[in-house]
Amino acid sequence: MLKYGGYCGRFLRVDLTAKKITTEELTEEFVKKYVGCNGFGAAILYNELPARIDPFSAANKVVVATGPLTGTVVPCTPKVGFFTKSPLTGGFMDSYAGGHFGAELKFAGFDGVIIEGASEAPTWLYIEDGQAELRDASKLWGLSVPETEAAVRRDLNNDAVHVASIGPAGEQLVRFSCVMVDMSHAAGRGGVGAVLGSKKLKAIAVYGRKNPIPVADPEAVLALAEKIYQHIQETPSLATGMPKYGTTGALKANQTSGILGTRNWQSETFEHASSIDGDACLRELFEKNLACFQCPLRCTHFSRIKEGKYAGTTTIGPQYETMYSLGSVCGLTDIKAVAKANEYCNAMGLDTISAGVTVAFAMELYERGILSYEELGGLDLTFGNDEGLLAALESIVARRGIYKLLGEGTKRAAEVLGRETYKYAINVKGLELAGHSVRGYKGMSLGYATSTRGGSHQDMRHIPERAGLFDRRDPSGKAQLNYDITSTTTIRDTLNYCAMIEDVVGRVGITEKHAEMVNAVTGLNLSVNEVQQLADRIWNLERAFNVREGMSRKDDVLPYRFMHEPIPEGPSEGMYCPPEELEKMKDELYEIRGWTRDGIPSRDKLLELGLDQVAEELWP
Amino acid sequence: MKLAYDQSKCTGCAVCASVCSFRLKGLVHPGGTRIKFAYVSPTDSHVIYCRQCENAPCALACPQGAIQKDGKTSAWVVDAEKCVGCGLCLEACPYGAIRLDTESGKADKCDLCQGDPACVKHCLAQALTVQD
Repeated sequence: MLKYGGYCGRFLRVDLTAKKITTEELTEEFVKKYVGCNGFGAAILYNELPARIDPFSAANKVVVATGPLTGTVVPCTPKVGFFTKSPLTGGFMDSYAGGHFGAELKFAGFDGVIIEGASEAPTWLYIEDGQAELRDASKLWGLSVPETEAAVRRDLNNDAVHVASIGPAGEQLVRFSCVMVDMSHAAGRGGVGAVLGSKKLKAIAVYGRKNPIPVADPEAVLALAEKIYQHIQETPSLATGMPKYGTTGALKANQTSGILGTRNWQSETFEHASSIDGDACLRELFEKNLACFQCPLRCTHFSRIKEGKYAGTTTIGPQYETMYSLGSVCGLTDIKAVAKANEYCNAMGLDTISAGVTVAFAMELYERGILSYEELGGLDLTFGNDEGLLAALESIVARRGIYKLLGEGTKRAAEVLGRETYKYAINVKGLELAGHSVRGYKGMSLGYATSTRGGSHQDMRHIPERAGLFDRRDPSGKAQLNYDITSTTTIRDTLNYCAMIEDVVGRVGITEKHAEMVNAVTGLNLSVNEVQQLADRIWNLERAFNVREGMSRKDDVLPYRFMHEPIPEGPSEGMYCPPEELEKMKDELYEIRGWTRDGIPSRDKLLELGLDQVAEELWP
Repeated sequence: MKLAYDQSKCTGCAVCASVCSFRLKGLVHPGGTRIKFAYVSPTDSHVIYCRQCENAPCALACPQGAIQKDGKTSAWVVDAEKCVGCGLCLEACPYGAIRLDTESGKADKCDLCQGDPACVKHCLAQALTVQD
């Protein structure tokens, strides 16, 4: 029995090839060294995956993991992480979802699940109070996400189970397929859904009533929870902004600063922004607030399209990232069409960010005459054509014609298409970019370029720059800012609290507050310095994973457009990140991180972080 | 006083049940709460809670007279000393709002946290409120 609070102390290991399920105890040493979700995922993947495997081979694994805060009384801690070698980037991928699944997994007695091997026939996994079994999914294969959830609930005769599942996109190995939790929360990025599809694992359902989660210091945890409540109630953007707008308010904010990705980022101001912004959601869509487990913020909305050609469609969302990716970046001018596309992606299990950015790529190629109407299978992919967007998404899932290639993501598609199409492919390391400007924030320029995941906005965060706490136009000091912010986001994903409450413990730099949080729940008694070391250990381990796959400085690059084309208009006109500026920031960051000039964690740094085995492997 | 619940405002976060079990035993335990969270679908959740009925069937059913009205809060409260764990109150409650504690074997129900219900305090959506 593990002596620390916040853990069940056990992982499930599911070998799909042998159809064998075993339970593994977490050791004290492992918990002290990696603490939780992001740490567990990084350690297990690094230790257990051989280098250079095909992400779709049986040798790849998917780790599902929770953090010590998951399932405790600390508010805004619903997350569950999915970890794998990404079929989109070929590197380390971590993607997180809200909902109830993470907490329920712990109430069922497990901190996580390691999924390995591959099944020949479609299967699904059921976990209930310390037990787990694989079930036949032949009748589920081909079903949409909502249909799959409904079938699983029917089969178990239990509405209260929580389900993580893939849709047809994951089954068909579309490289940006996601895992959907409780139908509406996506572990969206990097193609975890496709890896589950390659393993023929359609769904995981959990139900737990017998395993309460003890914490080290209940009084301190209660005090922490009350402090977060107080913070929420005293912060208007959280207390009233979140229930009203959720994350959708970001669209107007970005438009105002001239940093809203528009028409495949040809522009960063969108003349139709007001018809797809948060107020448009309020006018046209939102009906009811929904929330993840243990979250008083209720940032999620149930939406119903009341009129027009998509009338009757219901969906959960859209959230900001989707309003960017299926909205402004594709030039859509009707929030109802964005909601329709959101509903489709969620049902099929497509990452809305990569899906939208990929269609926008095709739209630009069409408008530039690089791809013809015929090559596009007779679809009019003019920017703003919602019917074209929906048909393209449907063709990607069906893997039809050129859309089969587009389902491989913009990086691979550009490589195959040639004709200098790489200039319009908006990805970093193969992961399509989220809706926060590379060009409009110097910190984000460096953050996107050096993120382990690629084009993710969840490692480096844009918010301190958008809030004006740091000058977004000045590259100086951004390496240190990147180090400080990515340290906190790594701890966020390890303890597992939501990005929406980052402010409570601080976004920029590890402080006493992070240590208090981990110590109250676990009793690990980490010092601030040890929490910083934990963040460094995990980040370096992720980096080492990518180095082992052949990545280095050369891969820390930005999309061509952002290094060569200034923002053409609007409040951020003229901003971009020329290669020499990026290289200088990289030099500074590598030095802060203790990496070589080639971006490889040095032997000394790895040894300092207790990553001896990694040091041996990278520096034999 | 008693609890009032507006399902149309309920977001399905289960905070009410979490804080209830935490207040009882210092941990979150969906199987050990007085107010129960019932997840029906991602868009539809309910809570199962004690109505503090006028002529409480639970109190009437108790052969030990162990369920008594608190003079201050007017909540029906279980006297664990008197309770023998027979479970008749569970059967009598039309709302499923009483539980037998797995450790003590005694009946356990909402006592409105002696007048300051934690579930109401933490329901920022105000789906749960206090009614006089």
